Amino acid sequence: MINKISTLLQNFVKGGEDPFILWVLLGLLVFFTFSTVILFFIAFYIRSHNLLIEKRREKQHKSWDPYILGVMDGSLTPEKAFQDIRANCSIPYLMYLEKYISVLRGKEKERLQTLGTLSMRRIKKLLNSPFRNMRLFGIHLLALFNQEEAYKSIRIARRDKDLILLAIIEMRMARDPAIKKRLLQYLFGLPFVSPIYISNIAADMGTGITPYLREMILKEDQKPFILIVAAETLKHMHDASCLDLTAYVLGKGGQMPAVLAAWLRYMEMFADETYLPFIKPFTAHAELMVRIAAIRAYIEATPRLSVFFIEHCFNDPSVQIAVNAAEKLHLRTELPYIEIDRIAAFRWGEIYREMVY
Amino acid sequence: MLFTIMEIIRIFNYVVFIYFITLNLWYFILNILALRGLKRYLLHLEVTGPYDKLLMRSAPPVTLLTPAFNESENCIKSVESQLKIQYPNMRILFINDGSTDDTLEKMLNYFDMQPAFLPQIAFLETKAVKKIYRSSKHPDLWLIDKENGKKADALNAGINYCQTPLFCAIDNDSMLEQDSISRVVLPFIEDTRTIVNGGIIRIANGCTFKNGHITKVGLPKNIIAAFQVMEYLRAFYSGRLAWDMLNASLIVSGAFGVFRHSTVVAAGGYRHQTIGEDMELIVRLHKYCSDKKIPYRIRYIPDPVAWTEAPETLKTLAKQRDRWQRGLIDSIRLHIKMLFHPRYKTVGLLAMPFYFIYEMLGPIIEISGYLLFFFLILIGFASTTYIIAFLLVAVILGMALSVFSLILEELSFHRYPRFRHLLKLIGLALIENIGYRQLNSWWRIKGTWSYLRRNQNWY
Repeated sequence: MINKISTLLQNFVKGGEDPFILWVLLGLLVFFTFSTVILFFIAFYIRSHNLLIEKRREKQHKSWDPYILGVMDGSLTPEKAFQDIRANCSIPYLMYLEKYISVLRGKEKERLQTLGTLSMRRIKKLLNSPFRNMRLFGIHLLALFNQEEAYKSIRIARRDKDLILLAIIEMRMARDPAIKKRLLQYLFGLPFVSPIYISNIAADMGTGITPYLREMILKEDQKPFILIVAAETLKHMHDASCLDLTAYVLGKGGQMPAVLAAWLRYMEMFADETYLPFIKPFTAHAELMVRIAAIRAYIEATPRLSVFFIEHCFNDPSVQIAVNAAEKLHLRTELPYIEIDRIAAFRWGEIYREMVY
Repeated sequence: MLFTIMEIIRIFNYVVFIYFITLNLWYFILNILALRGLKRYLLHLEVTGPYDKLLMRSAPPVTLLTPAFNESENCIKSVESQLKIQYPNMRILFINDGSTDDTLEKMLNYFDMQPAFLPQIAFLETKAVKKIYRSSKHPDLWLIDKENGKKADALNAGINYCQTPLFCAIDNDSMLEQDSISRVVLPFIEDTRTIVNGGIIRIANGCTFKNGHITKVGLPKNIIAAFQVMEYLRAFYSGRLAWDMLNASLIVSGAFGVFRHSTVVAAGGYRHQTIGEDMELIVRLHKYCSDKKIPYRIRYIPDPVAWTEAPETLKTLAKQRDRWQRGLIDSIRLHIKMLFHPRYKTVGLLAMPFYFIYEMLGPIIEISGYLLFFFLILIGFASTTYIIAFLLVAVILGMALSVFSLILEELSFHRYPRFRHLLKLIGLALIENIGYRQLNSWWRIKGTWSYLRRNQNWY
């Protein structure tokens, strides 16, 4: 075989008499010319198709609007509207319905969600589709119509990180505690997703997740990353119900400055005087990030600041401490009296420079 | 003697033939990967697009680094357009790289810039920084005035004074779309491994701009610029998307790319002595992260757009291509050890060999092939019919690849709105393979030659 190809090639480059190569070349030429022409038509087709679809969508939207608006204001039952809307199970129709649902609240939203759930058979089919993008649409629509009982039927490959993340984002508003717990477990277990991203999604799940966050915090040998994200999530949710774990977390996070700083930032939000004894030791911590968080939390929580503490902040080796203290002090209405000479001795130049630049 | 020459010619013919087959096989694979990548990205946009906007409440701060040398004409327009970018936490650092015209004076006067202080965060070696200024009109606009040291040096100076975890390197003549930064930053929020992310560069010639922002997309009337529209579409849709799927992107355009500050500083910043500092940095980041076993991603997404002016004369285009070729050769030469090295996974085993064989040596093989075929026909050693048929196959295949890129554009963002744009693009896809492509290869050969003569001019 190789010999044959080699001979053919030789004949080709030498301009031999063998017509086989010429036929092959002509074949390729015809094939690629044909492919190019087909590709031209595909490009035209896509452009025309997009234009046609746009026009068709406009028309469809006009025909769907009266039914959707009718269901919205209660003049039409969802069942009646569903019967009358043609293409009532198509993805474009459901995505159009989404546009209304996403801007509505209360009864109007619920009515439209009921209208959407009438297409559940189609959505469930999407969930079981062999195509990833169809499953994605399925998850999206499922979340939109708030069909929690169907969540369990979602097929997600454990390795498909993107799909898991998208599913979590879509389902973050679920009310069922079991689903929330499952989502959190998935979310906290995703590799390489930034803490900001995770805590934002988790916070959107609402305060219903607090018991699970507690469970995670209290778990033996919990990873520092999870403790940080848990603290950030609680902060995002403005949820003070885990403050009672302060002694436990600050004790456990002794060797982990990032955990300490995250928890102190969480504490700062609630200005709870009862936790001052826990915060105070950290105002002299060796790690700058912990000191900053502790100083901010302490100033926020303490009703009466001492002159000694303020001087301690402004004389810290890092000017960052002074800057953070100044920011917090600026917001207070009541400050202790300090002699003007002692104030003048603070490093105002450095502080100002740090704050401005 | 004659026998030996003929033997060499015969072997070279094999080389050309094998090169042709494998190159097109590669292009085919890359196109399939690009299609897959594009579909995945579009779906992501459609389904989580609204959520992405919510994420912007946690947007990490970004500094735009704009190096400029003698940009008196464009500097105000370009900075004004940057000031209009919608991003919650952004600082602009304009670096005047020792301009000899009135760039500095214009900037100082127009933006009412006053001497200011900015702490130096990193200590990459650069030419001396003379003074730092801050605009009293726009507090987020800063200017570093430094001695001339070329683009890499200016960018390093910017990195030294960059106070944010991310920085975006852009050319002074690039114009970013208003949501470009938000889009290009997202992969950094979604995946902590992301160290670089680049966006698409589109040709601004023929488009209408108002107050530094695009108002109407059009195609250039100038044929040379128009060819480049097609060329950029092919490079950014078929090439970069596919390499992104393989986590083996070797180029993030110097005209628009966002970088993680700490990683770039740890890797040593931009290299001064190279002409292709953007590619060299990306290859070095691959090497640095792989050597240190740091999990990383170098991304490219086709959505955030930077518009840039393309050369409109053959002379300027030839200089640009010459410079690109020298940059490519230099980057590969500096990191030649990565070639076929399994430690660097897809980068060492696929991307580096591809760039080495098809991008670096490609023009030489292609032009030599043309010359040889011509010579063989002249001496009567090869059949004219065969050679013409072979060349036609090559040209038609090139057309097919260009049209495929056009299909990717039509499937995704179709930024050229009118039907006649599509017709014109198809026409360009047809004719660019006859003449323009060969000219490009010739300029790149010249680039190789000037590299061998150690020409390091930026022009």
